Amino acid sequence: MNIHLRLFTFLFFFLALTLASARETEPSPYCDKTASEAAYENQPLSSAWTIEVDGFEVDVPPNPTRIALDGRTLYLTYNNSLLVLGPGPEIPETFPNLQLRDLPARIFRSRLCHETDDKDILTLLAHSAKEKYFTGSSTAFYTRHQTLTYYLSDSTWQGFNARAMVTADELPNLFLQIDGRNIDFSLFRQIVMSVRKI
Amino acid sequence: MELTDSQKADTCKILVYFFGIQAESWTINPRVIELLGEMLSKERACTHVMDALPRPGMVDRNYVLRQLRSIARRLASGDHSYQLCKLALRLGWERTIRIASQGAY
Repeated sequence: MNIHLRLFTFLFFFLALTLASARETEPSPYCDKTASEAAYENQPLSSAWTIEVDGFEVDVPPNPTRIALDGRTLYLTYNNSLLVLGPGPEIPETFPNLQLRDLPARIFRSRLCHETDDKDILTLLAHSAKEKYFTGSSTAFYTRHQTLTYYLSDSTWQGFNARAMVTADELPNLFLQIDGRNIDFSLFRQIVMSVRKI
Repeated sequence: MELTDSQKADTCKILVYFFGIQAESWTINPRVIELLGEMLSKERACTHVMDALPRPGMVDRNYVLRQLRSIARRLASGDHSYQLCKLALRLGWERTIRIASQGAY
């Protein structure tokens, strides 16, 4: 083979591998974002429907214009606003020891830019999810009441403007995920803070 | 842009793989294709899975359309290394794509 061709081939693969490896190890711009702890405040809605979602109870504004159930996720439309409630992802059999309840804390409370344990599934997931909870957010906090912990942000990632997760100490394998689109964040906060364990 | 039946079927297979059987009833439209490409190429937990897709910033809807068959085949092979990617996608993208399928995003 022509020496120039060999050199070109070597350089091409060297550069391709270097770029691929740089991309995989490059930290996300959100990897060090964390939320602050806030005092628990529950201002009940003046009028509400109470619904049950996967072991939790939550008060939502009454009379949605549209109600849709998709799998285990509930989509409530109020004219131009949307409220989505449902459990977080199910744990696949391939990760039997994964406790998804710990994921929201890892997303909201851990700095992960210098995290080196890339075999830890929870860390990999949290690293990947930080963008979803911190993109464009000016408010991000967590608060605790009884056995529940509430994580909220006004992230504007991909079509939503309010995101929350609620965990219960006694439920290691799941959390409640609540998202809002075109929703007032104060109202969203009232809805999320109304979550209680059944 | 008009999608062919086979493009819709491949997209549906991919969405069902990642999000579950409920995705069978989602409407496949150009916005869903666009988000699918963005999702697979940008999601950090999926870089090892979607090596056929372009890097972030280079996603083009037509390119995604050409890759659909190949992605659907790879997923159907049942490789368990896709599970982490699946978990990561379910955390945010499922709801985004679902509302896009309704024409609301």
